[in-house]
Amino acid sequence: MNGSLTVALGGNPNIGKSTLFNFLTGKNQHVGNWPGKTVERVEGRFTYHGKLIKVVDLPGTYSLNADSLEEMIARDFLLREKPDVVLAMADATNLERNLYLVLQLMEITPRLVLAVNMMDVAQRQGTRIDADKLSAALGIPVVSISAATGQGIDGLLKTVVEVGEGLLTPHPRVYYGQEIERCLEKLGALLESVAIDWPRRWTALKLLENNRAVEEELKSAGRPEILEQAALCRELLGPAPQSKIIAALYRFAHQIAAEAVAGQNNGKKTLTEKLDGIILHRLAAFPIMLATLGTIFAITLFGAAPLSDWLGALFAWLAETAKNVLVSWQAPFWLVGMLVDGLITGLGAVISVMLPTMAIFFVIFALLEDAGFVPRLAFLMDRPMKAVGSQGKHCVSCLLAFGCSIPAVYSTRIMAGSHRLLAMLTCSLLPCNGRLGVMLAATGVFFNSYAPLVMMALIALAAAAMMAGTFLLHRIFFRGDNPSFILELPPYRLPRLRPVIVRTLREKVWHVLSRAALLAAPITVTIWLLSNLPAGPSPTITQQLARLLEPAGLFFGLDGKTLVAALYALPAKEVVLGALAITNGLSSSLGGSAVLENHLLARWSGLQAFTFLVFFMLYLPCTYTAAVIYKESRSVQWTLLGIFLPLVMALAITWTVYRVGLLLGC
Amino acid sequence: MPFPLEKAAQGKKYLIKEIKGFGPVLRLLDLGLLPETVIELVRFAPLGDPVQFKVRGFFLSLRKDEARHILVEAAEQ
Repeated sequence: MNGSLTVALGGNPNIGKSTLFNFLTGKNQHVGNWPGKTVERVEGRFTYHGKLIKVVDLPGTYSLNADSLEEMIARDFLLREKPDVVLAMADATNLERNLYLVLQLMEITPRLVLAVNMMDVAQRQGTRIDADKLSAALGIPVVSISAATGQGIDGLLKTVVEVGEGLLTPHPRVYYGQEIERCLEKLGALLESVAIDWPRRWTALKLLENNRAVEEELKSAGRPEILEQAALCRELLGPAPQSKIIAALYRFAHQIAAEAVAGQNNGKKTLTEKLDGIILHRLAAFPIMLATLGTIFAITLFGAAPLSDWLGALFAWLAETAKNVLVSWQAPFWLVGMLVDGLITGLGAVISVMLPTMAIFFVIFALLEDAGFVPRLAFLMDRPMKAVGSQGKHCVSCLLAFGCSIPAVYSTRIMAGSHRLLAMLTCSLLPCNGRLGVMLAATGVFFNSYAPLVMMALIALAAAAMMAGTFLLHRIFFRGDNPSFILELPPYRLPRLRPVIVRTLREKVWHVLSRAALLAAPITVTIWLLSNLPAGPSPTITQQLARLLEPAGLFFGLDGKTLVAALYALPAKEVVLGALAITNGLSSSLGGSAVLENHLLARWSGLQAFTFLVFFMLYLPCTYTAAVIYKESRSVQWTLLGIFLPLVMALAITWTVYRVGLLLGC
Repeated sequence: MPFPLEKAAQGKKYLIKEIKGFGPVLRLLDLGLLPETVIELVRFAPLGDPVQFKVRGFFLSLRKDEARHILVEAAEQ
């Protein structure tokens, strides 16, 4: 065998499609976007008995009616690119709804193989699916597999290759009932003589559904009489032909499932039902959710601390060594400063904080996601988010923002339309790992035993700011726009440890961290230059800047030095304490200073410290977050809003906190 | 008489009679919420909205705003 095959992998969401995809392609994957869309396009390749097989993972959809961006992408890919084989995947525990999509796929291409996944789970629930009966009823090859264990996949690939090479010809059979079939026959006969690039029967179906794009195509092909015939047929079918077609497909799917499934669901409550009974319980749900989140934060915090210290020591050693080497080469003072105090120390401050916290936090979150908890979170939190014009999944992005705003902005892809923009623009108001680290350290210094309370107050304030920001944006830009919120609550399952951990570390942690570091590097060098030039007795640029911003700072109970430090922390919020050390003249590098604590304790009141933390927590998204907002929204306007909304809110809230504090005599 | 699904009771099964025309009606049809389909109200979210349903063997969450447009009758339990 030689040559190559293109295989499209299609199926419902949440049925293990990506598990199968990963099993087949291993590391040979390419993740990109569908052209012009922010929907992920994942492609991979592997060889099977010397044959190169390219797999395109279509977005998981319930249908191909093009009601959503994902459905449109999947349908257009199948119609335009005409893959050699379509590998449809169905979930054995939910055969009927899965078959509905398979039937639609059968109308688009005859080169189809059906893989039925999770037969083992179905069997445990007391049902058995007869693959041969299913195959006979559908007219296409059916293979039962377990994507998790790899069972049956070899047989599946053999069938896929046979279909791709034409050794096996499927004869898909979809039956809509007499009425619709007669219409399809009539239209199909007329379409015989039209040169169109689409399958005839599918085109006829779309004409019955009154599909605009297909009608336009036929008009431009100069065949208006076909449209007239289609209108006649629609009249025969009654008021809502598309609902009739959908109902007919479900009837057919139901009938086939009934024939192929042996045994009755044993009626016992499934694990999912039992777990939902606890996790979504009227009274227990929120305490359980808060306890879980608290545990995640605690694990992240305590797990990351020693790793951060170790990485910090590593970078300190690296800086020291580099300095010695450069000095022994008699490198000029500014070069040593730029490379060591600017680059290495600055990057060290960013990486040693970000890497361990992000790795731990995002791995835990990805495992919970894989286990099926995330839709439950959206279910629980939908009501409060609806009140401010958004929806439950908005909270999922916000939760990720506690790890890092960048994956949080990417994660808004789970939403569409105004909900997505609202989440994208507001999630950075919640403190990320960099800000949380600074807040923890600073509250410890200033508030001693009250530190945990102050932390909670700050986070509550951030959550309130996020809600208020969402409300304002919705009011101003999306008034009256309330997209629906329809959410599947998929069955729970054991998370797959290795693939999930590897994927998270590679795509979330490494991807974000490497780019954040690249972006931060030139800025840390610039900060060093600004803070050490001009050399000599005259004030450095940093000092001049601080003087300039002094009046603005005083207005909020802060000072110019603090505002400049906040400005310098824009590439990465982690470095704000180092930046404060610079602007207060205690250090010449972002590495910080041992006397900063005492210096600030002597100068700041408790109220000033709190005011600073409020401002620092909210003020602006970091530079890379702003860049990602632009990348994801493709709009300068929304990006500017994503930058200025937090700024305006931070100024307003900081001012209020400071003035109220003064009134209360703090 | 069919009544809106949002008025349904927890733990009870219903028969869908009609989905009145509104925004995401195609979405609901695609998920198999068709006339004569049995739908069970599993539970309300702790804050009263949205609502978890079981239909065709899987679980679905709908807001009351959406459930309002689905007319049902009580089904034999």
